Amino acid sequence: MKPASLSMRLGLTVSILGALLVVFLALLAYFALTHELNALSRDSLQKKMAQVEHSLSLYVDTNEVSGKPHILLDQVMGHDNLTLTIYDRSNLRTPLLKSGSGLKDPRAELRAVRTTTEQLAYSESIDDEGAKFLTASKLIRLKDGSSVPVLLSMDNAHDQALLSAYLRSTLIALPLLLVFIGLTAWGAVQRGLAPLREFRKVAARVSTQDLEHRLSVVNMPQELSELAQGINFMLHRLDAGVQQLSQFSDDLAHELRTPINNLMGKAQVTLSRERTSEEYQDVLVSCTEELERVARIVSDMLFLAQVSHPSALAPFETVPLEAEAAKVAEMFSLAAQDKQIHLNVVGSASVLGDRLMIQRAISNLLSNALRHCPNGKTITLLIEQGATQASLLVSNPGTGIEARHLPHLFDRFYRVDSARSRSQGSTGLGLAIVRSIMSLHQGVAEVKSLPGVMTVFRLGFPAATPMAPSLAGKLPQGQ
Amino acid sequence: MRILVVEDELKAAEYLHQGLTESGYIVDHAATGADGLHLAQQQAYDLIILDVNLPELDGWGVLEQLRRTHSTRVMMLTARGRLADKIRGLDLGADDYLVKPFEFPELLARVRTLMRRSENIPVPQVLKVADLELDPGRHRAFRGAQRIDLTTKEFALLHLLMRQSGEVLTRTQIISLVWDMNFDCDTNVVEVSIRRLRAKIDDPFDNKLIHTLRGVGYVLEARE
Repeated sequence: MKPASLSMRLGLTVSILGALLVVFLALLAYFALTHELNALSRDSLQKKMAQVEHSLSLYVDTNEVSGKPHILLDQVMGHDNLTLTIYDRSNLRTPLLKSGSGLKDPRAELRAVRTTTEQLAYSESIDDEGAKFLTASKLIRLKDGSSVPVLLSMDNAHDQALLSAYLRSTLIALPLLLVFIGLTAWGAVQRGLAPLREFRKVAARVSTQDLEHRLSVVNMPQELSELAQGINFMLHRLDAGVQQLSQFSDDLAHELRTPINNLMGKAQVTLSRERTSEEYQDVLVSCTEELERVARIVSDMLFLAQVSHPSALAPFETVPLEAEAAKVAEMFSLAAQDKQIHLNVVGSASVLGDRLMIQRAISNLLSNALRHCPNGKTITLLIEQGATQASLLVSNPGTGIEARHLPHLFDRFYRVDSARSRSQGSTGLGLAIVRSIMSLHQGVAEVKSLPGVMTVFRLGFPAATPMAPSLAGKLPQGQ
Repeated sequence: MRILVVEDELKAAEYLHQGLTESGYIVDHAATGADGLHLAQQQAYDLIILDVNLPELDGWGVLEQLRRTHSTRVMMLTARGRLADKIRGLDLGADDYLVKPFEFPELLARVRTLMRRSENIPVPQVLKVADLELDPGRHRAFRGAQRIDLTTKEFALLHLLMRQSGEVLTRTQIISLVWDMNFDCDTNVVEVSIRRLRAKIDDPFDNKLIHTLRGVGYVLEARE
């Protein structure tokens, strides 16, 4: 089943709640009204009874009551809804006196008479025609000391009419009110959710080719405008990511085109005429070297792809940075000796990570430093254990890097001096790999350079054993 | 020794066939998985070199069906270098796993290693090529009667070259086996080390033992 629309659901819910509220209020009003009318009736019966009692007290005996009823009848004269009935206790069959129609139900009347006491009592009864009566009863003493039961009945027809009119009007108004509330709620929700159509339109237009569209947040309800801003932000990030990817494929195609072009040209030139076998050998050697570079770009690319999907990686272990740095430095030491460069490893720290990847990051930084360090100088690998971070700094003196290059240095295929580094066999991915490795370790790769003086690359790892800063501060550094 | 190459790319099959034949193996070739499986079940091979990307029946399928009846050694070749793929290959019963692009000498070295696995040749205590002697136990090297002083890494490099005497070792293999760096480092450490080693064991003597195969790698052997 298709889920009901939001506006329909809200409209129905509000209508039902509104209906419940109206019914509740109507019932409350009905009962309050009934109670109030009842109290009023009792009050007036009580007053009338007091008057009757006063009049009766002037009569000597029951005979006088039946003989001269006028004074008593005058009491109830003018009150259409009042009936006065007085009985003789010795004869309950016929009343001594009866004004008006009296109760239509003689049994109820008899019951009331029999239970009459000197206390004023009320009883309610409904006669055959459905009319409701309130009866006050009391034993009243005459002058000769005998007491007669007096019933004073009030016909509540007026009150009943009032109440039923009230109920009727409420019942007629209720469905109308219900429809009105429901429609209003439905309309309000429809109006409020109208911007969703805008969402749909934008979503329908967005694709990887076209990420330019943004949602307009003007005049949007707050909840939706927050959502729209979230979506706009997401589109922005996707846009940036897609642009970076397409830029990257451009770069990759360009990077591969150069060596492929070289290979093809070289092979075609060689094949254009007969050559000695030494010449063929030379060409094959140079082709192999060029192909090695292509292969290196491809495997670096694969490595980068692998690092950005870290699910298939081996779990991290504790890696002593100084040992890895020393190992890498040893590998580079011969190349360094060639340039009379001294490699210096200082300090120690342990981090959680992948040994091979850390070696690779250090190796990329060191080969970079070695390439740019002037002969006869010193490259320092400084390892520091901080409270929250362990860092490894690779610094080399030299011409340095201009500030405008620094923000792009870790980008793929970014080269400060493209012609020179490409001829040295660099793939342009070394520092990009360093950054990917560091982000896999939740660390950072940074560079600072003072042109003409010193260039420092820094790898910052989160500390291997997270501990409270206060405690960490007390421990000796470099453990 | 007989090797079956199952590879659908003609150029790749061609150079594998040539390279392996020239190294002294008898090589058969199948271009599809089904043909390869059929050949492998009919004939007795010492090694099957199996590409993963094959038409119809892929390398995984061939390996799976072959392993039901045969225990022939299998080396998988693939363009996928993901750890999960490697694990899958080894789980299915592959003996080795090589990722493209690879260097031919490395393939050759791995083929030799796989072949040797069954032969169990004892490694001699003292290695000897021409008049060059290396005693790993006592960490000594002699050229004729003359003792040669070597640094630890130079000794490890010479040990490797002599152990694999007559085989070409690429730069990557040397870095991996001597310096224990299993990734492509951008350094000329191998060139420098070879140069220094040559200065000690070759330059003072007439009979040169370390040879450079340009564009491929290095080999230590006695050439008359």
